[in-house]
Amino acid sequence: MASVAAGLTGPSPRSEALVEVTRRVDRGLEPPDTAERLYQTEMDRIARREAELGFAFVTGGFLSWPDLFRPWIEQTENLDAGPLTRWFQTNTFYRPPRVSGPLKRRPRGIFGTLPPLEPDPTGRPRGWVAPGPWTFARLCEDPGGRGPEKLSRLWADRLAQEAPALRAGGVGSLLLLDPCLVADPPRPREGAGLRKAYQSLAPVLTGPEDGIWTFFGDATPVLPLVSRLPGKLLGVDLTETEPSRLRDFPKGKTLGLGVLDPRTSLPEEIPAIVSTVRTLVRRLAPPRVLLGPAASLDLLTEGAADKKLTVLSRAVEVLSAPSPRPAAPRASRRTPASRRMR
Amino acid sequence: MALPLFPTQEVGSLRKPLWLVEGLRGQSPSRAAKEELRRWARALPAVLQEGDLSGLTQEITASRDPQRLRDQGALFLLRYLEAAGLDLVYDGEARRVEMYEYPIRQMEGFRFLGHVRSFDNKYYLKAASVGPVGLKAPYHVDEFRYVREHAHRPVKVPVTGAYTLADWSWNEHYLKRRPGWRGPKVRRAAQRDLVVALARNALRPTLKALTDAGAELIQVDEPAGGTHPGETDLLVEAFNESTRGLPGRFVMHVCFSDYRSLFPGLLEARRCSQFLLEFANRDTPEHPGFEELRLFAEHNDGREVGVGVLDVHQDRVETAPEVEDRLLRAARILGDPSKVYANPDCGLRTRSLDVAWAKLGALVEGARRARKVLS
Repeated sequence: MASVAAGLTGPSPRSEALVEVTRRVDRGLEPPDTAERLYQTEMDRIARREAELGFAFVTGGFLSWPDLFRPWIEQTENLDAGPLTRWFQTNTFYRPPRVSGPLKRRPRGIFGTLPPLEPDPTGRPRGWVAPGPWTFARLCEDPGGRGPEKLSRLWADRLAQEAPALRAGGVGSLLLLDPCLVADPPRPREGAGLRKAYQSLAPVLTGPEDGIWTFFGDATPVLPLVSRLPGKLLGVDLTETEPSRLRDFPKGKTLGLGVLDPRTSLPEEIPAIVSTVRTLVRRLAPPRVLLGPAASLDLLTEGAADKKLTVLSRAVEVLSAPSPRPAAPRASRRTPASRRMR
Repeated sequence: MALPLFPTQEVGSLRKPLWLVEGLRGQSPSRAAKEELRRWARALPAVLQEGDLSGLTQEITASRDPQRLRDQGALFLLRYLEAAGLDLVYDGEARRVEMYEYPIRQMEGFRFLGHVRSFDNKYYLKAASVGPVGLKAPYHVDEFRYVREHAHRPVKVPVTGAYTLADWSWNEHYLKRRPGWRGPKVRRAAQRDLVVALARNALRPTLKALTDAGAELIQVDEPAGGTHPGETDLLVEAFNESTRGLPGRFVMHVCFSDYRSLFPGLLEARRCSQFLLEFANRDTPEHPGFEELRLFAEHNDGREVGVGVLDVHQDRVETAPEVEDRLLRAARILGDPSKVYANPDCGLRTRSLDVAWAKLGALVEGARRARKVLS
């Protein structure tokens, strides 16, 4: 059985206390540093919770980011924020980046957009997420008319600029959130250009939990293409991808499975997760599995998200428990290979 | 109702004045609330000398009757919109907590779980459907009666649509009835169950009560209408089911969506005589934002369009020439100026009353200028 781990794959919901404080800051009833202090406290709390749940890395929940792009817009020359736009098929909105020239890192860098987390006593690395190149290319506004291939390359280069600072800050897992790869996939003729565009990320995405996380779409039609993109991990949204259709997976990559649906507050059932993951592991034989929310849990309340994360943690425990010793073979007609699959 | 060319209208809610917010919380009015009231007393002297509002500046204290406070809030915002010069008015939804929470609280089968973020530091309280949808009692009827009694202009009642109420809720009850792997098909079937239950059991009885009370123009707000491009049929089914067999005129508001994904399915909302759509948010000199209006002509549909000409997410106040330009562009694209209504992109609740006032001033003046150009 492949080793199984879990981790957060995007921003967490804000607590009711943070909702209240940020509202009061917006209304001018509290100074901004009140929110800053609370971000720090709450992110440390989330990191402790991630550790308690046994996750592979801690993120702190990225609570202060207004949306996935904004911190990058603030830390990149020649990017500014576009009009309020719906975030895929959700009731959440973001401001797309508007490109006005070469993308250059500002001195503070992306790592500086979040407070440092209390060190994890067990030495868990920090997890980080960033918009993936194809998603950037499809969602940004570019009055310059560069095509998606060029924009993907620009963004891949921009991401690569941040890698040294992220690694120096203890980031051990870097997930590129790339929903457009499955929700608005590249056309076949764009495939070669896309692979080239992502190349600058190959030296960056080298850890077992570094890679591309797709969501909000069925991964099966684009697997042949995305399998060839850099990264040691590839994440698939199992709320959109029918598990029985997932028949091929790139050899040697960590299998990322988005098993928590952030669009419903109904907690998933542990047996359903366990049975689906076991089936996929038997079929795809990945060296490692990372389970997580299909998309970021900030579409939920903190309470509903925590219930789901508890389910996730329990599912990992069940999947990681030693299998009961199989009964002594009697007159079995199974082949040795099928026994190994069991 | 006789309206001029390019009739002006609000789309939904306005920000509540501080004296109303604090009063309803049982707080003594703050200095800021008193100052805000004094400012509006100077800006709208005639309004604040009228009957119910005449003693407001002296009267605001923490011990006041909440019902009277709500009446005064509704009257104040009604007069605010009238004084701004709008042709179609309501009460700025002064009595409603907001457009989702208020109707859901009038229903059975829902439980509020907490706040979720809409964008930046804006949140809404979100409920889960935990049982069959029911209606405690039709809502908005008393507020409509109050507005009708006091309004000096034609009235349009905004009501949140069934599709949006379903989309903004978590669907637990109807999803739980379908065990097993809950993939896209299962989720969609469960969502249809929730949408139809809301339309039949909550929206239609409410719209019926409103039309029975004399409402002639009802705006069904479906800001979530474009969220799921594959669900236009559900949006339309919700609208048709909610309005089925009722007298009166119904219009629909959709915003912040890719309108192309709604066509041509949206046009199956046969009882809908006008679509109010956000456009200003997406209209920049580099990217003209009104091109999607061509969809109506492309599908040979001659219904009215309420064109969003004020961006509700920016404090920058549009100029009257900008509004005029947007209305004339919309009229050119639709090929008939009589089909164009002028409105903000969405409710102006996102802006302060001062900014909203300035924006509505530009709206009214811009419409006047556009009329003059075509006269």
